[in-house]
Parts: sequence; structure tokens; C-alpha cells
Amino acid sequence: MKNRLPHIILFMVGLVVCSGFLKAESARSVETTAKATILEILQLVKVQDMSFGRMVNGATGVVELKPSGERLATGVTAIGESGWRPARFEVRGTANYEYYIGLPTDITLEKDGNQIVIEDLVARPSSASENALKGIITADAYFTVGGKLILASPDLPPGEYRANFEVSVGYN
Amino acid sequence: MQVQILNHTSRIAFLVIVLLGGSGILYAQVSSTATSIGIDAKIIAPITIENTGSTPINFGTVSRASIAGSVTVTADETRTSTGGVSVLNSSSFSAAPFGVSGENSATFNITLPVNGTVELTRSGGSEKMAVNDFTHNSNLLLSTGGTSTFNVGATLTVAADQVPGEYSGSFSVTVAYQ
Repeated sequence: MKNRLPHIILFMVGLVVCSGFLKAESARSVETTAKATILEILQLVKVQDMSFGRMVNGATGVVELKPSGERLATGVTAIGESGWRPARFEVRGTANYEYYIGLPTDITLEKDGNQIVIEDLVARPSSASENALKGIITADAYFTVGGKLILASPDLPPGEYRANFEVSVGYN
Repeated sequence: MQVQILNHTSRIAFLVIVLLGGSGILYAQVSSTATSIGIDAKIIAPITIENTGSTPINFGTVSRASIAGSVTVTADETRTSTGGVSVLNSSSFSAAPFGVSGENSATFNITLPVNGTVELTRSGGSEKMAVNDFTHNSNLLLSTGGTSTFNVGATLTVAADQVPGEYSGSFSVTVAYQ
């Protein structure tokens, strides 16, 4: 017994040591990453109201005001060398990100209970070569808005017809 | 003398028994008549884990706001936001996928970071955002082929007027046999 005891103890110590190694092999870790991108708050500033200028009553027709600033009258007589302009908005946010433009379906102008409707509102972002509802944010990004003024009655009372409308933008 | 040897032997044996804590070994040590000791050992495949494709937890692109909020990407890869935070729906997001391999049909545990230990830091700056509430969707069981996959998600806390930029950070996931 006396001679075997050291061997037994040595064997058991070996088992303990080995079990430690085995335990070390039974777990593994891996490191990975997490990420996120934070953008500037998107800001929209109106810098110019929309105006269709002056037109003569007595007929029905359409006055189209393009975002480029061009005005076209069909069926009615639009007068003046100037005085019409599309609405203009500046957009501020994180550069190179795309934004979308939200326009109303139509706008109703009023004067003393008489109404004129603007339909087919369109926008042209400064980053686009044609009308679009998406633009790219740059240091001086802006977009203009136009539409079609529908003169449905030849008997509209003369005067200024006005309305307010809302435009929205958001990161796309 | 014989009595003294036995007592000494018992004390040493007792020490080893305590170290090992094994009742089977207890019997072997207190019996001076044992002629054989049964030994049974099973060598199992080491457990391993990898972040598949080195894919991070990606919270995507978030617009900062004057009101604080959070963005959560679940392990099942859904994304929600709270407070003033709004996420760009067009921005991609992902939970981090992991692959585990080891012994066939073995069970394992996953250790995720505890809250307050993981932060994302703005590239080129020192601003930080905390990432907490890590979750996984594992069933903690290796297949009969000895493999398993799972995703890890978490919640990103975005402070009011968080400084814009690209944020990133790292965290560890540990797997161990049960």
C-alpha cells in the first residue's frame, strides 16, 4: 500500500490536470462588431411662395406653372411679363443621402367662397434634370414645385385667390 | 506502525478525494482491497464558434432627433425604433449570424455581453452610443451533424441630438458545452 500510494496520487493529480485542459477546450469565444449611422436632422425651409400670376376671366382653361418657372396657358389668357413663380424650398441634411418629397394631391384656392383648384402638382429637385419626387442632399439642395391651375368657370369674380399648402420631406 | 500508515494514507486520500469530489473515487481510496479501477473517458470534439461572414449587428441608418430613443434589431431580424429616433426604411440592417460546431447532439450555452459593457464610438470622434439587451435565437442544441446556427440582436440607445456619423464597436459571444 505504501509503495502504490504515490502512483495512485500521481495518477489522480494527472487526471485533475487533464480535466483542466479538457474544460479549457469546451468553450470558445468570437469577437464581432456592431454599427450604426446617424444622420443630421432633415430640415425643409420655404424660400418662395407659388404664384400663377394674372389671368383674364371669361373663359375656361388651364394655366400650367412648371417647376422650371415656365408658364403655359390653354383656353384662357394669362397676362404679364413676369410675376409668376414656382414655390421653392431648401433642404438641409446629411450630404449625399436621398430624400423624398411629399406633395398634396390638389390645392383649392378661395376668394369669398369662390374656388379654383390646382392639380397635378410636381416638383423638380436641384439634383434632378426632370421632375421627380426624390432628390439628393447637397450643400445647397433645393426643389421647386409647380402645378396646373384649373379655371373651370368663365364667371369667376376678379380678385386674388389664395391658399396655403403643406410640403414634406424625409430621408428615403 | 501499521495503524499510523493507514491514518496517514487516509488523510492523503481524503485530500485527493476532496480535490476530485468524486464518489466513485471515494470508494477506491478507502478500500485497501480494491484490485482494479474502472476508467471511462469520452473524447468529444471541441466546440467552436464563428461570426458567419463577419457580419455585424447593423442597426442601419438613423435620423437624429431632439428627443432620445432607441433602435432594436432582434435576433429574428426585425427592426423597431422608439422615442424621437426614426430609421430609414431603405437602409439595410442585420442581426449578427454565428455558426457553432462541436460534438453531435450536444447541448451548449451562449454567453452574451451584459448591459453597460458595449458601446459604439463615432468614427473620427469620441461620441458614443450604448448597445444593450443582447438576445439570441438559438435552441442551444447541436444537430446530429454537430452544427448549429443562431443570430444575435441588441438595442442601440440614441441620445437626443446624437452627433451624426458612422459608429462602430465590438463585442464577444462565447459558447460552452453544458
